[in-house]
Amino acid sequence: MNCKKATALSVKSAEEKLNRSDRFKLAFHLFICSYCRIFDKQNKLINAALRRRSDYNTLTAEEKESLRIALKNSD
Amino acid sequence: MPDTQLNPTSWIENYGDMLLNYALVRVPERDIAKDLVQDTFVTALRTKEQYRGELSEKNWLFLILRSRILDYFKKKKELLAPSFSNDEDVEYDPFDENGFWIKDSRPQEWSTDEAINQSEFQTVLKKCMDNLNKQHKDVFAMKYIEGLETEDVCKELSISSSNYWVLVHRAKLKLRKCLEVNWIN
Repeated sequence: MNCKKATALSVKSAEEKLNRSDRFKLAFHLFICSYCRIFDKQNKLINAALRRRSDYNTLTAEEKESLRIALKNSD
Repeated sequence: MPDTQLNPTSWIENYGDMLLNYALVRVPERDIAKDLVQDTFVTALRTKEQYRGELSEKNWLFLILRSRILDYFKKKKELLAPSFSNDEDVEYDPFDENGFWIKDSRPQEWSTDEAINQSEFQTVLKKCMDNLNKQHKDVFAMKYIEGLETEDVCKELSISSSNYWVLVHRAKLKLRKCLEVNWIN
């Protein structure tokens, strides 16, 4: 298996369980390829950072107030 | 009666930030993102009689936000006529013809993994996400900000699951490279 396929499996494995054959192929490739090992690790970091974005920015008190007013006026 | 009840008085507190962060994946300007969130709430309030409870309150609000975002880009395109596409996707392929990493594209270790918590990393991440094409942004917003399951993302975007994985693979390769280049280790 080459690195292109391995990184595709790595991306998939971070989100769902691979079938037995893919799991084995990926594990073997990661064992022999340090670049894909780095990719695998960094991909997981990126996922965690992306998930953290769901509450990264917050509405300010003024913005919330203006939303409240807008909602009130349209009800 | 729907199983799920709408609770408009708690929308701002419960979903405001989440919707804002979703919108910010698609539009870089905070003011516009905030207006889109406002539009979403106002539209939701006006159409709340149509809510049947098939979706959770949260997913229903995100659905409305997505249609607001679509509308926004439609209008913007009209203003920008003749249309100039901002979404040209420069194909990034770090692999050679045999599928192995090209020398210059090989992933490098990042200085420290704890740095992921730092806000500088998030700042670079945001910049790198702004560089992705529309479809990649949609996938990331739905999957990671809204927290949809893969099969629901596929349904929303009318793509097959193999398309989904090709898309995410490509987007991740691009994002990783951009982070490595722009994030000073």
